[in-house]
Order: sequence, then C-alpha cells, then structure tokens
Amino acid sequence: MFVRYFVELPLAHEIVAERLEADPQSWLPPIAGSASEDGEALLAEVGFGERPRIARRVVVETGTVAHLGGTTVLPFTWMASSGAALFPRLAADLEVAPILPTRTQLAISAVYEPPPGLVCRAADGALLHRVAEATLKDFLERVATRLAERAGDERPASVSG
Amino acid sequence: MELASEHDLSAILRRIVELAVQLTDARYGALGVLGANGGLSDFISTGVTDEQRAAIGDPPHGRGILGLLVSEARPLRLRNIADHPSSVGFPPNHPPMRSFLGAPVSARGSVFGNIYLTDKQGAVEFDEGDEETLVVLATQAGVAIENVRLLEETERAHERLRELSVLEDRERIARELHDGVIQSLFAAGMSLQGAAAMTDDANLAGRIEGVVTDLDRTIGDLRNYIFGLRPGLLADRELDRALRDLAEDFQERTGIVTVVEVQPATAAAISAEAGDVLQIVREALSNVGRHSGAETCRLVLRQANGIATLEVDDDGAGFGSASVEGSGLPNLRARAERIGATLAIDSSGNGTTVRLEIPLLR
Repeated sequence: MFVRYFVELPLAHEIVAERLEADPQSWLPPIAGSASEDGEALLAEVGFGERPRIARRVVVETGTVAHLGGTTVLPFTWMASSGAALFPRLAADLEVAPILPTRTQLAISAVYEPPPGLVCRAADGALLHRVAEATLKDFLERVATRLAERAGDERPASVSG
Repeated sequence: MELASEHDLSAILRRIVELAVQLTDARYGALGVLGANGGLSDFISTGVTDEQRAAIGDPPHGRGILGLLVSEARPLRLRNIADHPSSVGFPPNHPPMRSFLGAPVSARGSVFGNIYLTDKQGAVEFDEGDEETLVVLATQAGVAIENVRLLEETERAHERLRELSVLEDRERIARELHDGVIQSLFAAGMSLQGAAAMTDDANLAGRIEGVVTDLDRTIGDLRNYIFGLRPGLLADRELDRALRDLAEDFQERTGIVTVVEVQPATAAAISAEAGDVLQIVREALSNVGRHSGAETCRLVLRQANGIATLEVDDDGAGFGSASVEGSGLPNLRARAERIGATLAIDSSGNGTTVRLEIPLLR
C-alpha cells in the first residue's frame, strides 16, 4: 500500500539536507519507534486487537543518501519485530527539496505491506490504511521537528503539512 | 610520423639510433628516454651484443657526461670521453669507448632524454656534419616522444571524460527514475488503492490490490537500482520470504500448483545475490507460466558441498532448443554469470528444470 505525505520547514534546503544526512541511523529509529507505538495504540483504539503492553521493537535500516537533482533522498526500511504490527515491513524515502531559498519541503513516500491476518474485510483494509496514514503523518512531523531543532536552534521551527 | 602506442615509439627510436650510427660511421649508439622519476623509462642501444649488454647490467643512470646532455640541453662532441671532467668512467664489462657525440632529445623546450654515439670509425672524432645530423635526428626523436605522451594524455583525458559521462548518465537516469517513473507508479498505485476502497465487489477489489502489489514490487526494484540497495534491506531473512511470496503469487496468477522447499539458512547465505536470484526465479517462473502448460511447479533451494542449488522445475511439455532464445534464457545465463553462478536447463517432454548453482565458499 502507498502513502505519501509532506510538510514544509522554514529553513534553507542545504541546512535541512545536511541535518538529514547527519548519521540518520542514530536518530531515525527512535522516532520510528515512538511513531509506531502511537500507531499501535491507535490501531487498538479503532478495534484491531489490544494495545500491546510492551512496545514492539522497530528495526529501521537507513540506506545511503542520494542527491537526485535538487532533491536529497534518504531511503530506509522499517520493520516490526512482530508480524502482527501495523507495519510488518515498510520501505520509504524521506525527500528534502527546496521550495524557496528559506523554505524546504520534507516528504515521505512509503510503500508498506498490511499486516497479514488483520485485514479480513475491505472495510478493515481501508480503516487500517487510515491508521497507517496517520502514523506516517505523525512520523514525518516528528522527523520535521527533529530536523528543525538540530544544531542549537533556540526553538523548534514550526512545520506545516 | 604516425604513432599509436609505446610499442610504435620504441621501434621509431630504434630506427633513429640505427640511422644515426649509420650516417655518422659510429660503432655504438644509444638513446635514453627519461621517466617520471628522473631515471630512464626506455633505453635503446646498438652496436653492443646481447651478451655484452647482459654482462654490463643496468643501463646508464644518466650521471656524468650523459647527465650533461640533459642538464645543459646542448650537443657535446669529444675526442676522448675519459678526458672530460664530468666523465665517471665505465662500469665493469663495458666495451672501451673513446670518441663521443651526444645531443639532448627535446621538443618545444622540454628535454625527454639523450641520444649519443661513440667510437667514430675511420676518424679520431666526430665532425660538425655528424653533429648536425645527430641534432636533426634527436629533434625527430623528441617530436616522436612528445607525440606519444600527448596521445597518452589525450586518451587519459578522454577516459576521464567517459567516466564522468557515465556517472552523469547514471545520475540522470536515477533522477528520472525517481522523479518521473517512480512518482508516476506511486500516483497510479494510490489511485488504484482509492478505487479498491470504493468498490463493494470483493473480487474486483482483490484484483486491484494485486495490481497495487505488483506496482509496489516494481517500485521496490527501481529503488534498489537507484540507491544500490540490497533487494529489500535486511535481505538475510528477506530472500526466503521473497521466494515464497513469488511462488505464492505465481500460483495465484497461473493456477499452477507450486511447491516451495527453501532452506532458510541457504537463503541467508546467498543474500548478497538476492536481487539476481529473485530475478532469475521470476523469469524462470514466468517461462513456466507462459510456455510449459504445466500443472505443477516446484521451487527448491538447498545446499550441499559448499554449493547452493536453486531449482525451478515443472511437469509441462518442455521446449525444444529452437525456442530457448526467445524464452529469456540467455538473459538468465548472463545474470547467473554475473554472480559467479552456473545455470543449467534440462528440458524434455517430461518437463523443464532450471538449475542455478551458486558457490558459497568464495
């Protein structure tokens, strides 16, 4: 299933790209873990099983950042240690592209496999997809906040989707 | 003077030395080409036998009188070499030499080496005419050396440009795939997802979702290509699963009952080649679906004696050698070779077996 979402950062593309490239394997997995935890809770709230007492571990692997024209792309995968999670497997690109000299778009293009066993009816699939969208929206906003906060900013820059 | 290589240059320089010896009645002649480190990169001599050359050992180091030809960059004519204050003598086993005529080998202000003649025959020393002749020949040698060096430099520059061009092409293709093809596929996938959600027809929704899954995989392949990712990061445990998914999809699409026997440890052992292995299996299954008329198919991955063996076999009609070229099998072979594997195809009226053998101990 496909999900795409974006936010804007009031920062120059070079700054955001530099922060995105700075050791993403150290900061991206915890963000994915937190977003996943909230996603699982939301999943339980809409009726798919119970909220797990212990958060499932999320394994994130980042690839090598690519510069494609003016866009900086960080590919990564996100896998849950348990197959019953919201995203048993998700492959995504975090993309940073300039809009204005001091305005940058941060986008996520993700493809995920729905959890086997959870989707029995089409309506369930649609609901599950909405939860997936909400989770990735939350994830991207956390990433945006992280990128805006880095390098000693006095206060987090606002983000807008 | 046309030059294409160092080999041509050596032949020309040898001809120049021989000509110089011949035109000046010298007994011995030699030409040394300076290398990048200041030593000689090439040394050509005439008049000295192979045995003498072997007995002398290393070619001149360019000290003494020979060094003067390079450092002062002008011709030098001597009645007796030993009388010159810069003379350093001869190494052991060197034939005695007396009269000397030498000139720098240069072109457009750069000195590339020296050419010299010894032991004028029929006279006690070389004359002015000999010197003029040698200077002309030295100039020709200089031009020849310069031409080859320019040629080499031009080839290196072209090679750098070609490499740059390939890199630029790769980047352009990656950009076009990412910003164009992937975005289009992504949009098509999202649109189909929306369509699937709008229908109450479970069968139709299922078929649309099948297409969405195919698009998802295609996007995955393209991303792997662009980012140089292993097919599906975490491929160690992904190949096993990917092979099973592939077989399941195949069975669903074609109705051919497909049995999978994959050793997870073997799948993990060949994870570095996962992309090519998957592509080979995909192509082999595609052939089964299109050409075999089979009812059952088997996908096996196991290892023995340090070799992982992957087999796709079916109980179909098989195919004659005439249809092999059109079945994508040459592509499979090429892909197998790329990962150091061998591909064998056994096809008869009882079915076809595609066998890929990948050495594990490399």
